[in-house]
Amino acid sequence: MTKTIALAGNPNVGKSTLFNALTGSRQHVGNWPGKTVEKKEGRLQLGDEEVLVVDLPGTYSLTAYSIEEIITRDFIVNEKPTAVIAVVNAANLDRNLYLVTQLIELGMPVIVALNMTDISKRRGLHISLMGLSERLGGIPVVETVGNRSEGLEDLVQAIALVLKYPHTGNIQTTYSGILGEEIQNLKSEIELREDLLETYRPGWLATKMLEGDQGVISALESRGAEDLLESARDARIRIEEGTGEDPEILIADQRYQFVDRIVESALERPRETIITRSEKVDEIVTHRFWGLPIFFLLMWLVFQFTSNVSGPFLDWVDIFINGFIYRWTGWGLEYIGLGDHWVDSLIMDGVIAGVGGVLVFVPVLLFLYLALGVLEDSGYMARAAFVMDRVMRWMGLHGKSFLPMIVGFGCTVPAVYATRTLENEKDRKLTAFLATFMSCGARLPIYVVFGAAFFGAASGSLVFAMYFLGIVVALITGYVMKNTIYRSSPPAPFVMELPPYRIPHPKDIWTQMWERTQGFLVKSGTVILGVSVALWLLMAIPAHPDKGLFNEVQAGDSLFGRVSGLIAPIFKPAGFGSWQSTGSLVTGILAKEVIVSTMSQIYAGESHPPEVSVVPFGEDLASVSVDFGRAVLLTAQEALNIIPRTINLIPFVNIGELDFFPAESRKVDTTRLEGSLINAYAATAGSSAGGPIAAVAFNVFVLLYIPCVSAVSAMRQEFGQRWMWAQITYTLVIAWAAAVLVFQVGQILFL
Amino acid sequence: MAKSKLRLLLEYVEESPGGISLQELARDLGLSISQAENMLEYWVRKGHLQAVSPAPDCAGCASGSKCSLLIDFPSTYQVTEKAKLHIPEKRLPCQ
Repeated sequence: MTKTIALAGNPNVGKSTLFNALTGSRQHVGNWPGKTVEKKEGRLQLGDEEVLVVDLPGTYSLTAYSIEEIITRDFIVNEKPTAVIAVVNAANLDRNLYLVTQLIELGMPVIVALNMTDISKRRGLHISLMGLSERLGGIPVVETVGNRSEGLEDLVQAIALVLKYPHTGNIQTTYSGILGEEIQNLKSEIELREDLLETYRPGWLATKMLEGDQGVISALESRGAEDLLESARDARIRIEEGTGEDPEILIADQRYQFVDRIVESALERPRETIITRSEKVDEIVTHRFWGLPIFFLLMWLVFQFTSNVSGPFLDWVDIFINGFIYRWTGWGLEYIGLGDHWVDSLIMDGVIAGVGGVLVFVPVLLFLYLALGVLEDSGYMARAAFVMDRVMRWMGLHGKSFLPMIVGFGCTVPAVYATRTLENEKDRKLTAFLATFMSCGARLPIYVVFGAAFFGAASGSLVFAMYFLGIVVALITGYVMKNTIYRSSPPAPFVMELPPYRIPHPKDIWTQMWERTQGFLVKSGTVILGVSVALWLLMAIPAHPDKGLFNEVQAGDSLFGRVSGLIAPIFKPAGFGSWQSTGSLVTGILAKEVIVSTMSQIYAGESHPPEVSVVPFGEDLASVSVDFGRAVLLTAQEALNIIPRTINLIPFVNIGELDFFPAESRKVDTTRLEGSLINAYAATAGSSAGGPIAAVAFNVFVLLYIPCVSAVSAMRQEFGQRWMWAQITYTLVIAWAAAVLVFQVGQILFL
Repeated sequence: MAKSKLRLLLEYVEESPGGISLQELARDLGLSISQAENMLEYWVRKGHLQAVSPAPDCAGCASGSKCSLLIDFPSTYQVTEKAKLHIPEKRLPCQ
């Protein structure tokens, strides 16, 4: 008769990898009878003997809560494999041994494959194989690293040994008090039933009956063991009366204590001190009162870093794209005879101004993702999520809302889909509603360009203020809606797993930075390119034949300029009632980055002279390289200046900042676009002092108004057209009201 | 009557409406973090707690789970409606 080996273990412990390593290609995949759970069988050649290996579904215990648990338990109890290999994650011994002790109690010869030992060693965990084997009743314990096929030979040898000399671990969880007494009484009764002893171990059966395990009870009923079941029912009542607790919970509780004792004697955890240090830091950063200010201070630092430190590189990319690339493309077009052709305008004022205007912000995004990557990799972002989650629950929002809302800082589209993790429809709608106020990554270039133009070195504060305002508007809206139209039960309590702090890994951070920035680059080459070309066309078509010919019309008299001009008066109370701002907001509905590309195109037409390079190519390239070197030095300067700037937040403290290139760092017109914005906003606000206020109002509108079409379409798909329109209307109204409030109050306070 | 550690843990979570970290929970109940985690998993299996997946379902988005904008979030255990009905029925000896 063919001997059978079963592989059992918790999910994700490398069971399938070991199964593949043992059986190679000699596998058969099917389903467990009557179940949709996959059944994998394979053959292992042991000398002359062929052994059947069965991969059991991953399970944490042998109770009857899931189909996987029932399949595993029924297979071991009814099919009685010759031996069971318990695959254990060495990095999480406590959790895995809970199942191992149950397997041993079933009376099977068990071999422990201590897998993932590479990870456990890296974490400084030392497991005594001898000690563990001893505490588990003398069963073999073998170290393996399944994905590297390490320890496989030892495992095969252990299998051969167990098949030759079957040895069952002689352990039994020690149950104390009234529970222990009742188990003992039942066990004695079971030992009198020889028909049952063929299938079950008395101790295991007694605990299962007391747990009220329906599978076991049905099996006993079919065997006519009514008297035994009656005894178990009485025993359960006595235990409940004696302890006030469900016997099943008492059994699990004492089994955990039993496992703890095994782990205590077999496992050394030399890194307890590190965990304690993490805990000490957590006491401060997740503190009920200090946690939130610390989070906001760190976010302020992130935006200082993002806006100011990336500034020199932003300038350099601007010089490179709008200078070098622009000059030499113009030269090239002229060289091939397209100098005065509409193609020249399309490429120079459409593609380069539009796409280039957005690509300028790649350094900003890289620095943002660098800062977020460091926070994330160090383990702080988990703490930030914890702190924010607490605030959201305090405001009455659902606990799971925090995830979609924080995802909203990246992009609103996945944030809307992330609401699927919420079961309640009201909570889903409310969360999606609020996620749109979380400032997505696409809005960042807008804040940066306005911040640099109007606030210079304090531009990071504008960026921070926008993110902060988004959170505040979301929380207020959530609070009001939760207590009016979306009234539901209070949020449920929760526990959050906080990973230990660690030193960020540069390679991981670089991967994150690159992957996230890649998305932006792809968008620039697709959506923004398309919009730039379409916008160029609309700006080239005259609104009326009297206003000029195609591609010769003034931007304000173009179709785009005139239509935008019709809407512009609405924004007059907010200080930015120009056709340029309005037109940018309209195209921004397609994608928020388009606001910057539209402005670049509009103002490029006004500021770019038809420039053709006069310096030799090599000289021009050398100049770009020198500028790059200067950008590196200025970046270092800005990074160091974060320290005095942060200290200067303390009242009456003023520390000087580094200034490597005084003239350069004081220049206001960081990019060509910024200079145009200063003039344009001073004009719409009515004074140059009012320009910055109008700029802030514009940014507030950008933050709060309709998310992009992709997000709107995701909302329609998830919640229907009616809800989508409600969202659009609400965001437009609140954005307009907030922008007007900022401009009007700002004028009273500052002018 | 002394309560089981499992029960104490569930009650502790239920009485923390502002949320609690796993570390705080373990420290306050005198457990190791992995012990506390195992006990939470027990209540998840019993349906009294729900493990909230840190990865949002982005099935409708073209980028899906490969979205470059997503940030990793920690796992969360949340009390379910079932937990509020956890008190075992007291049966009288005559029943």
